[in-house]
Amino acid sequence: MTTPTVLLVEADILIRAPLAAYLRDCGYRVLEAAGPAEARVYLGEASIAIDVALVDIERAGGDPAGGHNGFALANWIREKYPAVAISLAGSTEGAVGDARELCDEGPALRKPYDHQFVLHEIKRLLAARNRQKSLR
Amino acid sequence: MLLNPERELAEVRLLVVEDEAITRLAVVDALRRAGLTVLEASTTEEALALIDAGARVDLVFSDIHMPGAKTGLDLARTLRLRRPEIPVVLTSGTQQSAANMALGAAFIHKPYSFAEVVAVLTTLVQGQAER
Repeated sequence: MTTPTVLLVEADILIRAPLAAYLRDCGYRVLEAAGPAEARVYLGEASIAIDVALVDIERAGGDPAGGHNGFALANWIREKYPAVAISLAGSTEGAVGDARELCDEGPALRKPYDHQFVLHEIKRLLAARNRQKSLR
Repeated sequence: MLLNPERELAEVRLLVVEDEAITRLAVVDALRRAGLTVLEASTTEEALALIDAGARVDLVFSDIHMPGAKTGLDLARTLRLRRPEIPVVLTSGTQQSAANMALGAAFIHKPYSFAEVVAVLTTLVQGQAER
């Protein structure tokens, strides 16, 4: 079985780096994106198969070129790469509410991140995705 | 300066600073496969934020041409002042040898092979070569 790949989109390196390290220790391949522009580069690379995108809707970083904020990025991923499971993270009630509309597979992650909870959420999304694949 | 030759590769924490996401991914993958523990930053500001926050970093491998206010050379200068015990290896597609020598930083010319990067950095880590 191949190692699942997680795309972590988080602008704050002091949050991103330890969470990425934790997930790597748990056995995942983690791609770190400092913002939507980097995330799009990874997603557009045909040789990279991303299983789960963990996107901070508030602090995924803006795109100076007029691209996506974190929330718009998540919508874009869902439209363009429907096979990628999305987990959203946010810290305000409004954002989390918006996130629930987008991510009907499960609850959004609240920040600050509980690393264990993030891990469980990724496992849950991967399991759900594998179940869907097996039903096709 | 030499790093401890007895140190296991996995215990060494290398910080890769590269703004090109695919290049960064490829080189950190190669370094992780070689057994190093790798942190990654997409800008020099991120690199300094990590180091200033107290993240343990034993070696820095940075591209010189970076977006933002600080280049890789600026990062090397800052680390030389603040954290002179951290060796810095710089990379660029253009020759920067004079500037690098003034900073005491090693240099790997782009385009590089991952085998070359792994060899240079692991050799430095293992203390078999001087900066």
